[in-house]
Amino acid sequence: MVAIEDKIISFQKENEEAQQVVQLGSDEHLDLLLQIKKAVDPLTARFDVLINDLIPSTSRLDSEKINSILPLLLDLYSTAIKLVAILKRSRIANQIKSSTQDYYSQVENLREFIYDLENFRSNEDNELDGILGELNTL
Amino acid sequence: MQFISTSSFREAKSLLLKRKENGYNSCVKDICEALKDLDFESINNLHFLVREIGDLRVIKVRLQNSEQNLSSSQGFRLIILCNRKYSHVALLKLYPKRGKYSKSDLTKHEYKELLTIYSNEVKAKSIKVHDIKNDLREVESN
Repeated sequence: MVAIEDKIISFQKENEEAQQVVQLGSDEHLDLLLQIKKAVDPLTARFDVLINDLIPSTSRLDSEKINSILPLLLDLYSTAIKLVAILKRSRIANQIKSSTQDYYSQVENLREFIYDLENFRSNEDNELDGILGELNTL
Repeated sequence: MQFISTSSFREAKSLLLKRKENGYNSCVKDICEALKDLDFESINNLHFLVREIGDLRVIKVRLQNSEQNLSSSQGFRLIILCNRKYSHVALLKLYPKRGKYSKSDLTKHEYKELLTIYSNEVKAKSIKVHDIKNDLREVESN
């Protein structure tokens, strides 16, 4: 089984490669539309698979392990958001709105996932744990 | 396993169902479809664990919005509390990711509020019991 870290790093590389294709496409014209779509659509699909894989996997991890994968997720998010910026600037990419919107949704999904891990799973929360602890005694 | 709800969930559901044109009309059906055949372990294994202490697990469930043909990534978020001791799943909050009432995240403060409401309503025995196989119809508690 591939480790969570490997999955995240390898997917980040795919996002970086797509950036190069989109940047090249932005410099040229309509004949590159299909090339951009072919770069973005598989990434969107892979994003969905990755998040659906990570959500149950992280349920079994302790805070130490969560803290060790958070920097990798943030790097992936940073790469993905750069691609979003490039796509938003690209006049060519604007002509494949459905594809780009689907990709933006997946990046937002990753942001939500990171937010939840950072806020609820990566450290102790005495107040939240206190309420849950009290509920256990009901 | 029983499905119960707090007032915070019922208020959120009522808001989403208030106007048909908002596009949230499938939320009850989508909740039932996602949860009706699952046990405690399956719910935990398929969805995001927010926090766990003793017999209690707070879980975020990602749901599709079948009416708008939105996948679970863009549909609804349902916050539930799985209580092994009482063998129930408490529906605490529902919000959409798209449209008029869309919300990005819940803050820690909002989670604390939801748990406090649950605590108060369990103590006051004012929680409602639902039939997950019948559109969350309210049923008499045993």
